[in-house]
Amino acid sequence: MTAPLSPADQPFTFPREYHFPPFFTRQRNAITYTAQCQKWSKLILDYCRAKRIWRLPLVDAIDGELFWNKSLNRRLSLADAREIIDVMKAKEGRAEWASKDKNVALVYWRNPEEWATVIGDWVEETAQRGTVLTLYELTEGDLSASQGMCWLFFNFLGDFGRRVGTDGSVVEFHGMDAEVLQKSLNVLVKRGKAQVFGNEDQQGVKFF
Amino acid sequence: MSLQRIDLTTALRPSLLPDETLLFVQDAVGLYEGKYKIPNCQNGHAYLTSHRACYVDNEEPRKNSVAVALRDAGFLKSSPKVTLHFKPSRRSSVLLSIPSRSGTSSPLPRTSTPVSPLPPPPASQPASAATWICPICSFSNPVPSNFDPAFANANTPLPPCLACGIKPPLAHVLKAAISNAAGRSASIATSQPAQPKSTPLEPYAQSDTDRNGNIDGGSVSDPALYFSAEATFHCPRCTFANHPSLLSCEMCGASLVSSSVPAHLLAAAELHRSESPGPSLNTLGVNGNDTAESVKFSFRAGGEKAFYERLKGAMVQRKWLLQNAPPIPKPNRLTPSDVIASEGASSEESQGTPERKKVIGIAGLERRGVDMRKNNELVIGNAFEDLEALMGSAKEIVALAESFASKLNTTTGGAGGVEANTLLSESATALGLVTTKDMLAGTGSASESLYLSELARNLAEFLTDDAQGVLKREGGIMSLVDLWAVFNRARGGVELVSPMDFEKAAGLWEKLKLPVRLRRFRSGLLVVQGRERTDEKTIASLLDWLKGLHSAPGGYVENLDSHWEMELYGRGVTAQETAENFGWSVGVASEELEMAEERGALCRDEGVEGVRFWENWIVNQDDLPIRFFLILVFTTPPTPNAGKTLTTLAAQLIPQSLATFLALSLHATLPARLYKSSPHRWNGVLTTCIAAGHANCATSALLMCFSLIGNTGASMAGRLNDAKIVMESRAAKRAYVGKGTARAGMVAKRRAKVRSLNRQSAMFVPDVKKNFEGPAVTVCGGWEWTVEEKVSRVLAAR
Repeated sequence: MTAPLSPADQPFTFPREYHFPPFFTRQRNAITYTAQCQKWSKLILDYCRAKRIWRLPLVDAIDGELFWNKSLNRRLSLADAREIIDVMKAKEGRAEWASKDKNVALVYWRNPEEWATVIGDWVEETAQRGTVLTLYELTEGDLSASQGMCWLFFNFLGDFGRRVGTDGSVVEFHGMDAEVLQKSLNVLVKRGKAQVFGNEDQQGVKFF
Repeated sequence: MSLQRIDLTTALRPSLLPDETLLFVQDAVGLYEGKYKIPNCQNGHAYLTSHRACYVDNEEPRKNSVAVALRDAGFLKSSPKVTLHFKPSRRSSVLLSIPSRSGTSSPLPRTSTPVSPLPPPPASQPASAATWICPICSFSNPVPSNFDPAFANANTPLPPCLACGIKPPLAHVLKAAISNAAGRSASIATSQPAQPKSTPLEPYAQSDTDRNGNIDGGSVSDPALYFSAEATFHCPRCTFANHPSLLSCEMCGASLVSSSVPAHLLAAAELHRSESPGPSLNTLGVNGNDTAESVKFSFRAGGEKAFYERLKGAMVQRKWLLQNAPPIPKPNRLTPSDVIASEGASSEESQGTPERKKVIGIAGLERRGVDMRKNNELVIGNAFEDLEALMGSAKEIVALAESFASKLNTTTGGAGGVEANTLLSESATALGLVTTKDMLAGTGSASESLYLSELARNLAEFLTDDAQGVLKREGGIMSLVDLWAVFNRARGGVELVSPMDFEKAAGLWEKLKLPVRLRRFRSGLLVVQGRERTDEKTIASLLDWLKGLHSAPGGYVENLDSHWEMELYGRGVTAQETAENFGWSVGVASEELEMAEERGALCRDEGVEGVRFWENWIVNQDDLPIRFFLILVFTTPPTPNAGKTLTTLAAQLIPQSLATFLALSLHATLPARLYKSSPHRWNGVLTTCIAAGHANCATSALLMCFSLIGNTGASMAGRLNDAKIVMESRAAKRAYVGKGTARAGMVAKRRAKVRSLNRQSAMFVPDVKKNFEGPAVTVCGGWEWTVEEKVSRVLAAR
């Protein structure tokens, strides 16, 4: 078996509006702008989900295909992109700034509450209750890696495998961003389903 | 013969006949026919032209505007009104009676007796019989024989009193001369009241008809005017001016009531004074059969003097005689048509050409020049012959002046050129057309606003004139500044309009209901548009154009790499392209595009090569038809609360109300009509139905229709009552009543209860589950489902 095709290399099918030139200009009409923000928000979330991006460095991403349609020769400006992230953050809580200078955004295609549920379910299904795992093990370790293969399998099935299937959702947090993971675990702690311990580098978690 | 309806121009002014010129305009004018007010014609503009006197109503100009042809009218003047008397229809000679303030010209008979032979024309009366009494020494002096009140003014030399040697005031002598003349006219017994304000007449010297006229004239308009007009009842003995209501002189005690004054007249006068508004006519008598003897223009805000003067001038000139007459032969003139570019040109040419000898070559040119000069000489000479003629030939003179000016501009650049030019323009202005401002009486704020409104009308005419097509040429829209330039240029350097007046006048269009409107874009740019051209229409035409671009490749070849789904999105347009396509100026085009963007019809695309506008594909297109339709329906003006109505609510309620109506009318019982036919009660019914577990009443309606048990559930005011199980066990207590509030026997009660229970179970069992799962196909699955689906789609879209 060759090296698995990483999700980042898979081509992303952009939605229809991505090929509409005015989509890359900030609209002045309020109603149009709201619609524009919604579509951008959906596009960003879909893109990040497909590419498994938790952390979006805007300054770099602005030169990527997400914000730059090279065939149209149209690109979204950095300021407009920031504004859209702001809207995503304010309206739906689907994004957050990782840094204060608004250069890196955490994109919540699942927000911490949802991730907490996902992790909780995974613990339940893999019968890991009462075990102690380091955070590294949780996201990068063999357990989730093997599940990662599983995830790939489901990914081939298309949308169905990703969205609905319980197995599919289990593996989603493989390679998860540490900051997002921290937030999700905090939610679990609040729910009384986990306990986080250890110092900064070597943190562990125990599930109940 | 009488009032005629008139055609109005687009600017709501009377449309002029060829050769007709506008002489005077006055606002706040009312109209009387005979002695009666004409309803609907009490507030308008009076337009005096060389041929007609027109009234244009302010409220409903198209309906209530009339005119009197001056050729049908002799006229008389009374205080703040100008009265026009009609001539008899078969006229043998032109009747023109201008008694007015000139006492010596013998007044002509009222045309109330049209068949009576006309009196001899006014002859200059020797006034030697008249005497004036010196205010200092009371000596009776003879009025000098050469004194004519018609032409007397402050400069007329007056002889001093023969006894004391003091010069009398002019008014005094005038009065004496006029009263003398009036005394003589009384013998003819058909005189008209002179202007009472300036020349108070002795009432006793006047005939009955006279007095009648005076009293009517005063009482109809205003009691105050009546008093001021009639306040000077001179005592026949001591000439003291008494209050008109006094019966005896305040000074000398002489009786003021002469036998010639009927007592009821005075009483009538009192009555009239007490109530100001005069009697009104029921209809606007504009049909030809109407034989009203006179029409009065009542000037509520002044201006009657100027109107009168100009009217008199028009009557003297009698331009209407020329209307059908053949052109005046001008044998001396060899008229090249390029000098006189006015009305007579074509006809003159046809006459002039055969006479002209054919001379060619340089000699011909020279000859032509000589002819032209001769002709110019003639025109100028004729024009200055007398003032009346000057007014008549004003057009030609102006044309001439213009041609001079253009010649100067083109040919000479010499030192004298500039001076000559300024001099010429000055003289042209001096000679010039009767300017709009001149047509308005006096100065002050009232006439200022009148000037503006006339200017506004003038502008509207200018814009909508088909021959010029100013607005059309600019694609139906042009900026105010452009219009100002074009308008002033069209005026040919005469009577230019200041920018301030221009803007004010443009602002009046809306108020005057003229067919153009002034529009301010968001950037502050002012543009002029036809009234019927709304934003919606502009957007529609823009969208139409953009839709047409979907298939046509057009000239938009950009980067070959930049491809998009052309069939789907069409392409973007720049302001430049739009301007070219619609014939707008670029500024207007970009404003219109931004307006459309603001309305959400377009969206912008800022690329390296500038801003392009696209059809708005960002807003979800699927929602648009529904939303558009709803917005259209619920924002159209007649709807109360237009624009505020919750569109989805309406979309829900209409089918539900229909369903409820159907359901309830099937089960109408006798008294139930009360509830079931009044739609505002249905809301409550709906709520209960839904609470009872139905998706909506449409469901329960069918249930009630087809189920056997559904017919007679216990209900109160059309609502289903809960069946209380407790009641069943306590038989002692009164059970539910079947329907309404009437009592029933035991058996009936039991039966009602059973049915009620059954009914509820029948309703709940199939429905409850469905309702928790959200809208789905209900029992009937027919159109109700469609309705629900639509509603939820609309809701989801919000």
